[in-house]
Amino acid sequence: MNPKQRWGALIAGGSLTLLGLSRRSASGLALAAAGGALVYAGARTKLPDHFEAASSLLLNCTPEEAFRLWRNFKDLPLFMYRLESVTQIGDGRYRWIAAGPFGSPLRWDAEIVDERQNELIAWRSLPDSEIEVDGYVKFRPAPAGRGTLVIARVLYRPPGGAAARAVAKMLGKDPKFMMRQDLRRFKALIETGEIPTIDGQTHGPRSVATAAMRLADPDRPIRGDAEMREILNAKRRIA
Amino acid sequence: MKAVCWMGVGKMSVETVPDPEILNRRDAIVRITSTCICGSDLHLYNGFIPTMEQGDIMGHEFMGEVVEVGAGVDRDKLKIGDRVVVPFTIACGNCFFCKRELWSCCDNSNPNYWMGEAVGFLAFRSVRLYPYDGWLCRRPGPIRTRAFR
Repeated sequence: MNPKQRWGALIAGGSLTLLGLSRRSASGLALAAAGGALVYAGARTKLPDHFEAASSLLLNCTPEEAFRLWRNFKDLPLFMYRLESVTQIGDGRYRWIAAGPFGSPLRWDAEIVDERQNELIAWRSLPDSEIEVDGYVKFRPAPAGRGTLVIARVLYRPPGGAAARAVAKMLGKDPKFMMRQDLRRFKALIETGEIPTIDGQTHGPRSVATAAMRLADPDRPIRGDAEMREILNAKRRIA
Repeated sequence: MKAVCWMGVGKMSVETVPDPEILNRRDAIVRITSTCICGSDLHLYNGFIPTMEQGDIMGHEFMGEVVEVGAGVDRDKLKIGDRVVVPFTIACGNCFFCKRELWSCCDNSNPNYWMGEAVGFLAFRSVRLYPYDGWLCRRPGPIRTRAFR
């Protein structure tokens, strides 16, 4: 049972029970019993301990170009806005730092478990990580010369305790949506050498609600000139 | 500069806002000499565009003069002083569709693509133009323009 079904069961079951009891009849009692059963089913289901995100996108480039840009891990934060840095710490091992809840950094170490030139990169997080992040990305030539299909799948497993809830809250922004945005930025970067944006654009006075929303949503950084140069360099490396 | 801002459903006001800046390498900044109100401005005005925020600058069909270009702009295509007409269908110039001159289908130029994936339309905001330097049409001819102050 996924969270949506769970809440569906709890709410529908609760309503049915109330409706049934308010009828004060035999059929009402049956309704209430059915509602109670639904609530029970919903309440005893556990929330998932991991989150999974998968997405794919068509890129107007060759698999070689896409592989080269992705494989250069230190450039991943250029299009993965939640990532702060990726640094190599050993042979095939990397330390990933992401922006966690309330701006606190979230670290994990990962190793490459499988790599096929221009085709696939798969990684797995190492035991003492703050969050487990396992995943793979595949590059496949699209039919009819339409470019490359990039397919990514990532599994996050937050650690136990209060931190877990905070992390889950952060990931509650829908990991699939965040991955989709990352892939979109990857596509724009590889196709045009820049990421089209309106962040940082001039505007009139904002409302308090908008300002609060922007504060609460940390993945809207404004890229400076230095980073722009890096993006262009990344593009040049591909070309 | 002065700008007409959307301040909520059915509420517009002329505000003094910071001047636009180059954000990406292929941006251009255009001093607007004439502009118009488009039928689709009514959708923005009436609050049917979900990504509109209070303070957003309106207007997306205009002509003017290029006053600043980003470092990545091809100077043969666009330079400071050029008079330009701006089509509202912004495009990246490099994606599958742009390469086939199907500009309105551009994959990359809509920053709210997540919404485009759901319903399929574009939302534009101000006079900072991105990202395709070849996109502004140069008009050397005798088009008369009138500046609004």
